[in-house]
Amino acid sequence: MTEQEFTACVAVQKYLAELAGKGLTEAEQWERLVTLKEFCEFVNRTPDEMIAEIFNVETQKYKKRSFYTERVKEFSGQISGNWSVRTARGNVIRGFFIANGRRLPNEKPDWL
Amino acid sequence: MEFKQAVGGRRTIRYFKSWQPVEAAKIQTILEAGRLQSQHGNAKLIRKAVVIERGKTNDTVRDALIDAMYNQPHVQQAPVFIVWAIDMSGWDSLRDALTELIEVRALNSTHGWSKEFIETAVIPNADFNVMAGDHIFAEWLSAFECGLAVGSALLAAIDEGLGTALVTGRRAQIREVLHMPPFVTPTQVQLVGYPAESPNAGGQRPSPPFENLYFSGKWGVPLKPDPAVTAQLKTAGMLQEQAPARWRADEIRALAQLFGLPE
Repeated sequence: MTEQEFTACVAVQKYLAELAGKGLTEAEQWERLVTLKEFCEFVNRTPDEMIAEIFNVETQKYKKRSFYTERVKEFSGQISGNWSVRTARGNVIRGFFIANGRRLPNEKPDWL
Repeated sequence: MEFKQAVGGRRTIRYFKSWQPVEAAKIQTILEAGRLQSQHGNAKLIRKAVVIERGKTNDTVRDALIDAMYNQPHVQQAPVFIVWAIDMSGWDSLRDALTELIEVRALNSTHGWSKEFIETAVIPNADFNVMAGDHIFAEWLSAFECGLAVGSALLAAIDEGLGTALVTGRRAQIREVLHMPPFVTPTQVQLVGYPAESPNAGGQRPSPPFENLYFSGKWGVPLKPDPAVTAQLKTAGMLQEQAPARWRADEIRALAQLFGLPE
């Protein structure tokens, strides 16, 4: 998928609109898009496919939430660094899903 | 704290200091505020609560309730849950409660009350003895009355310097986890704890204009607020600076990093 095709995805457009609304700089938005693209390659799906797959709009129930929850955890664990750094990577993906109306469980710090 | 400050300072707090327990005295004070609130027929046995405390309540129970409330971050963080519930069997106490009100001179013959009046005119009347009629109305009124108690409990928490929030959840799961009988319905869960966000949580939330809510003489004729009173209420702390404060986005980012949450 080209960069243009990626950015043109409906789900990515929704995500970008949320990021802009939060006051993130262009550089910060770009960094998150890069992380999201890496995750898409990791699960071998486009952003729109991920959004369509995770939730059954007709039944209003989650279909693949466990799958994406586990994949995000694995994705976070790919980098070195402390818990905060690794969780922040996974939270980019969680933020993408949230921008598209879907929620993955957050990771809790050990002390919570 | 002055009452107006408590009313104005009430927020739904969504970030709690999970590490800081709430003092037992404060929990008791919150519950007392609920207990003492007005109740139809003084039948106060209809509204009850189960208190869940991190570190005191079995983790399995607390974790199951967190799950029932959709694992929301503020539910995970809050050290105390007050699970407010409607106990429909509490209406069985209506006759006794009314009789007691006569005995303590709250209900008097000045207003037509007597024990005979209770038996012959009140208990058979579905407008008053709600269980004598349509149970849908009984449940509706029970929810209203429970809400009164919860409203007081929210303000009491603010008055104690705490943060608080109401959360809904899967009622059947909550009932099962807490071993509630079938005639008891869990309503809202009140989260209680010390706020991790600023106590004013970035400002007072939007409310519709006063005149859109309140009418004079008949429905639809706006009751206009007096600007002088509005100014006094601002001074007294009931009307506060509206959200979002200019620093709110930065606060959310900091809290997201603290709790490992997506921004």
